[in-house]
Amino acid sequence: MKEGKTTNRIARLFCIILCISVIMVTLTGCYDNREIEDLAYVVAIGIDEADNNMFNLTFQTAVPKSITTGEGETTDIKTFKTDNFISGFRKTGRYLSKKINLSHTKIIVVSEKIAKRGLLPFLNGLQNYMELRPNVNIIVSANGAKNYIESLQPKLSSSPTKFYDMMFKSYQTDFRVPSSQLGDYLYRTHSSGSQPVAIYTDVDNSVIDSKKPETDKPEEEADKGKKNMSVKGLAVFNGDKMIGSLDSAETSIYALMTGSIDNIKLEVRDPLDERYKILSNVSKDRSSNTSVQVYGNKPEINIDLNLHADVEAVQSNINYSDPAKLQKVQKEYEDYIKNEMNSLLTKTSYECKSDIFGFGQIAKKNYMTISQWDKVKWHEIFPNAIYRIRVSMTVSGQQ
Amino acid sequence: MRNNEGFGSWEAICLLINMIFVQVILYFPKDASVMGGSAGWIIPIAVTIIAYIYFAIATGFYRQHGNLDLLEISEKSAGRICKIIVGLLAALLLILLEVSLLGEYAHSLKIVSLDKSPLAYILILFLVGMAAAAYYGIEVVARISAFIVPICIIGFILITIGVIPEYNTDNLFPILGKGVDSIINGSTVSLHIFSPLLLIFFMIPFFKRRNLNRVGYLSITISGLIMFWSTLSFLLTYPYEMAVGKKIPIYQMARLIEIGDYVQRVESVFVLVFSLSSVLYMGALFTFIIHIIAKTLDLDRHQPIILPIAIIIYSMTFFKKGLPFHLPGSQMTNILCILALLLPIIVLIIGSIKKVDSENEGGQNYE
Amino acid sequence: MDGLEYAYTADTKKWEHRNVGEPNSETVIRGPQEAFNEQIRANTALLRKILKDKDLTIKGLTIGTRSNTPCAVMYIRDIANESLVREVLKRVKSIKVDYIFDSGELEQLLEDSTFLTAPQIFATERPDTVARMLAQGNIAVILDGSPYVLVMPATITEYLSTPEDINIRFPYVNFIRMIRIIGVIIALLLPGLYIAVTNYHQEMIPTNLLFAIEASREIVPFPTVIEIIIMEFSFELIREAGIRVPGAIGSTIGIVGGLILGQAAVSANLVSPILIIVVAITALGSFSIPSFSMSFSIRIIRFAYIILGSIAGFFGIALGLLLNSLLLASSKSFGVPFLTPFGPITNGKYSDKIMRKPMWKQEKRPDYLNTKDIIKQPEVSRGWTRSDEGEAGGEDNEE
Repeated sequence: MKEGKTTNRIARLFCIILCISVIMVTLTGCYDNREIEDLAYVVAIGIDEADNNMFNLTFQTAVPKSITTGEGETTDIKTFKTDNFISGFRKTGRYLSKKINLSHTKIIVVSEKIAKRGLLPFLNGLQNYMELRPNVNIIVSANGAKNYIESLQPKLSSSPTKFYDMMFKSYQTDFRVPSSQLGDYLYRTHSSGSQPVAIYTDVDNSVIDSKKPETDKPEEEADKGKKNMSVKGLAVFNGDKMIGSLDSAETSIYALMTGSIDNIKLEVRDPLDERYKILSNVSKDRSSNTSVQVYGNKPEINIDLNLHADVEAVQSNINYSDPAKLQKVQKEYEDYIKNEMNSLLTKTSYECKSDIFGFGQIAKKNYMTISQWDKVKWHEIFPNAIYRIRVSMTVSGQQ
Repeated sequence: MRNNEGFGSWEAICLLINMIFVQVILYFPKDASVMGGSAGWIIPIAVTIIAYIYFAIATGFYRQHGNLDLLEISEKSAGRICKIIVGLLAALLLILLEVSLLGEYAHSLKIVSLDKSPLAYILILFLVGMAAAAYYGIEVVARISAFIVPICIIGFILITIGVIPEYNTDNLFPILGKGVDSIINGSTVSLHIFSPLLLIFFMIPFFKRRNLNRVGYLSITISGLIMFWSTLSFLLTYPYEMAVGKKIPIYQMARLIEIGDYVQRVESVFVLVFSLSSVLYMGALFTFIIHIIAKTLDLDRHQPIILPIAIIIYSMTFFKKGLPFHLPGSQMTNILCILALLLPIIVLIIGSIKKVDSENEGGQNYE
Repeated sequence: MDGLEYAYTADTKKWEHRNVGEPNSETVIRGPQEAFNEQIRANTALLRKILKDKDLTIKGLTIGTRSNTPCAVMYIRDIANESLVREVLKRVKSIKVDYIFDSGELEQLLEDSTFLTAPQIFATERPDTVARMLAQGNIAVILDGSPYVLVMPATITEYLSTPEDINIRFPYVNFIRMIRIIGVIIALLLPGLYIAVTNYHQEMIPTNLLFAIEASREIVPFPTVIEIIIMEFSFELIREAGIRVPGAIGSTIGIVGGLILGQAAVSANLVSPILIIVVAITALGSFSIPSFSMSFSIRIIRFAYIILGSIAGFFGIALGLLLNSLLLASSKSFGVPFLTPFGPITNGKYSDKIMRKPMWKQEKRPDYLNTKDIIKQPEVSRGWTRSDEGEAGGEDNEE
């Protein structure tokens, strides 16, 4: 009986010690426990140049609406001067009362000067920082990152985050700019077969804000500085340095060639009436392909585009439903696209010397091992490329 | 109602698949791309074929041993000394495997979800799971893996299917990657993935002998398929230049999934799958270690040695701090794991030389 | 009496007892509406009425040295397994207590493991459930004075199915089962997952939802864990109190408690509204569990998941799942593992695991019971599907 009591006591002591250690572990152990409202969610990051080799980092954080006051969601923009990126984050702790969390960042804006200097140190550091998602968009702004962020007024929806989501989806369909996301960008920087692109924005004086009739105050000095920025086209990179840009017409041809967008709305001069244009919806047929052969030092690139256009609007009153007239439209389109492609290819391969189309990826198919491919040094022989372009188009008339 | 505790072949298959599955989702695609470049997907095929050959050789020796596991064979063939040597050697190899993998998993868990907690804290949580698994014994662990492992595999397949819009067949070219010899080199080194196969031979008393072939071949086939599919989808998504820098391949792939407007941020599925299967794997391995030690030393109950060995493993994990992070990739671990696979063959060869009969045939011993 | 010249008159008393009424806790829509009452003779008569099998055996015993409560053990002699019968009889006969009043006490004296949260003996007050389980090969124990009959052995599938499952058609059954399984998972895991996601893995919430949650949590003074524990605890309190409130006010208290308490708590900024929804859905899930004791066990384990989720996020939940499965898988009910048929995956076409096969496909009894006769129906149990001429009308199905 006594033995039973001793083992019982030992068992009870053991259980008590176990319980105490469990309580200690659970109460002190939640190291990573961060309440939702303790974090500041940064929606946009901007990188600008400052004097002395320092950078101006701009953070746009979202301020959620509170139930009691009933305001909508707003954002808060702050700029800090630091000399490298990582310490910039630490500095924000001094200014904001909450801890920064990058997991909901939507865009990174870089000013053109920094893009010309080289982006890779920033992006490499950011990519290993696991919080940033690979679908963050990269935007190069000709007028400075801070101005771009400040000029984005979320007017069409009440929450800035939704605004950003919608903005890039609309870019894809309406503004003919393929998205340039962090994952894609890094993929192309490291891949030996293609070069990265990013969205390029600049001041657009053709957009005018109409004044609200209620406010009769004279326009203040600060307002004049806020210009409207819009998407101009694409910024072309070689490695991580920006070397040129494409405007919007060239961007649409680029999108057509690389197939990242399904339908492009192209307009062309009306062949039967010089004053007006014809708008149609051009889509690429699946049978179009590109092939690359490398002969010694010169790659030979054959591009074969089969396109199909649906005529949507004719500005003049000419009826385009009979086949003879459609032939003329077809020839007009073919010539137009061929010319545009020629000029675009000349610009990118001979002037910018960077393969943003991804021809290198297709050239890789000719080789068996990686060492053979490395010997070819695609990026150096690309400027010697000879192109053979063939465009064939079928046009279907309007209903 | 049933007199002998046992588990069926499906449970054994799931237990083995889980062991290989966890390594696959953690670092195998990245290693395959380092070793083979863009042709890394050939490596799983080669490794599976080698594993088939190995298993065929091993079961070839097994025909007359009946229901005995490795320890009993070694005892019957060369006496108790041999059994103790074999048992302790096997336990030591498994402890080394467990220690290296435990450090790796805890570190990966830190990257994926809990990044501020100290490593010691995460290891304690792992240990709680392992100790609980070892307390209940092998049969219970096998039973729960029968329904947990299919769930994990389905989650994994969903992730790799969701990434299909990001596939780009150009990433697979050049076809032969770094060259044929580096592929062959990579395949032989990767054989350490299959080192948990050693455990089949310890599990035999629990399921019927005639199922041995079926269990072994089916588990090698399914795990080979999983390896191949994960490496293929990883290489299709990332070009080989980027692939070598991705630390946890399937996690990075899960971040890319963006179907429509709302199916995004699917990493939560990955974190759940990974945590469940890694804790289950560690628990199962630990249970086997305890079982082998208890059987080698002829202990009655295996519960008392759980706590000491758990503490030993816990402290051994901290020795690895000085060594480079990715221990399973280092040469020494690879050689050890391949040794682990050779051990059963050696014992079986000795056993068949001494012509050991199984218990069912009257237990005649030729010593 | 024959052979005697006198007669005896005796005054026999009849105990007052309740009539056979409707089941209180296990209501179904389609199925018989009779329930056991406290008289042992009436209960056995109900079972005999349903199972007119000549092999239905009743063994009568008395339990309790002072109370001498009659008890009956029922089984079907050529279906039930011999060793199971012996084990049950051995356990019942070896109970030595003074007084025993209710089958609940008997259950606690007979069960394998007292401290496990999952119940191991199935208690029901419907005779048709007991009859079905006897026909499968289980054994029933009836105690005088208690309307709940104990059936053993019990595995997890018994606790997750209602008698209605068998009576309604194939598509409806599987739909209801899916909803019930989702309800069980929600009742167990939803609060834990909510805490794990909002405290540890904020990057997994879509941005808009994140800001909605953050906005509602700004003004709440407690951390999320305390909030959840307060709300869950008060909900359990409401549930417990609601049992004792007299009938007329009873249902209103539920609505009053839920709505007003929750609404008042939100307006007083004590809890956030999202949390109220989480707790409400959890409660709904726990109401969908058919068995009373199983829902208790799930309510208890839910608190453990909340604590684990707040310690280590998803990893804690995974750990909790592992420990829970280990506990359940290692427990046995009269030698049958609790998680059959998921634990040891038994062979044999047991057709009632998660999805239920159609009625005419249920050919075998569950083989974990090791019954003597495993075939319930031959392969073609609907004779009218066979194409033989000259048969008008159908034949009876063999059972």
